Amino acid sequence: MAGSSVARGHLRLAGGLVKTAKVGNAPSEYELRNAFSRSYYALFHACRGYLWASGVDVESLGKRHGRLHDEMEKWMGKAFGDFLRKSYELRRKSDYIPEWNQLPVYKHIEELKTAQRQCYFVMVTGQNLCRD
Amino acid sequence: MTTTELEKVIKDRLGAAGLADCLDERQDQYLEFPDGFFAEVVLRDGSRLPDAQRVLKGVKEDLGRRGTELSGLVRALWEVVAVRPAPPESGAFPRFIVNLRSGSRDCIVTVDVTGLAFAGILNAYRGGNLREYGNDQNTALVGIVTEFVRLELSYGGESSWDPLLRPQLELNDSALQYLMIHSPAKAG
Repeated sequence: MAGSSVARGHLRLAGGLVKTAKVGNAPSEYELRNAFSRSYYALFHACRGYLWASGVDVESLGKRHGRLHDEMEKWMGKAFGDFLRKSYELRRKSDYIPEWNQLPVYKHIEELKTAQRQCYFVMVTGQNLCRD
Repeated sequence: MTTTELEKVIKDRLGAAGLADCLDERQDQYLEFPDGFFAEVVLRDGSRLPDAQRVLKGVKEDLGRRGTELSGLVRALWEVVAVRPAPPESGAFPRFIVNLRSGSRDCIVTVDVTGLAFAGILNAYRGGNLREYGNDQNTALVGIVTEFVRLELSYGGESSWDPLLRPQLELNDSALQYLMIHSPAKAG
């Protein structure tokens, strides 16, 4: 029960963050940086919520993001693990590296949409587990 | 540890594994973040990817034992060798087969053109906007697909495309719009 309550808290936070990770058709560099940062943390909390709801001892994973990525890969497969690592690197570069990756805007927007889809998938799966 | 020290450790180990000659040092990256390091190793020969991945994994494990987190990726530089239309399927939009090469490694990928992108290409061709790619519609299509694959191969870092892991691409209307404005053929 305690795990389920913690799971719901993370899933609620993921839902709030993912809504702030959207951009328009002509976003500025800073809107994109913020969106990549928020979408990774939305995914981060969705994954924590999902793992709590699955009965995983999430506290034992510690504070390293890499442990969370590895654990999610065990549950959702290598493609998802790779996607999570990619989102993490995009978040770190968005937050810390002054040089900005000059990809076409459509490419950035596609990456954000993919992150949002993955986040909603993990959130809904976690919410269903909480209901069971 | 600094990024310079990390770079030296990784390059020394890659050298010891016989990989020094196939490194592309213009595109590699070594970055430091508050929670650890990131390394991107770029090879000119895709056949050496497994060797370089083993080296990076070894460095990651060694650093991890000393409490330093390293994440990273190894990728290869690929070139487009040939693009040809796939045999048409009933009701389907065009698909292209693309041969890629990286050093002594070859691979084949497919590119699906979405309905909206296909309509956009036909409209542009009829409007005389794709003549840079060739004098007939099929040549123009092959030219656009070639440009699109080159664009996808040009991205580095976490946005890079690994044709071995993901051998299917989709040319959609967003990508087409970008190509119509920015492609070298248009600029030239």
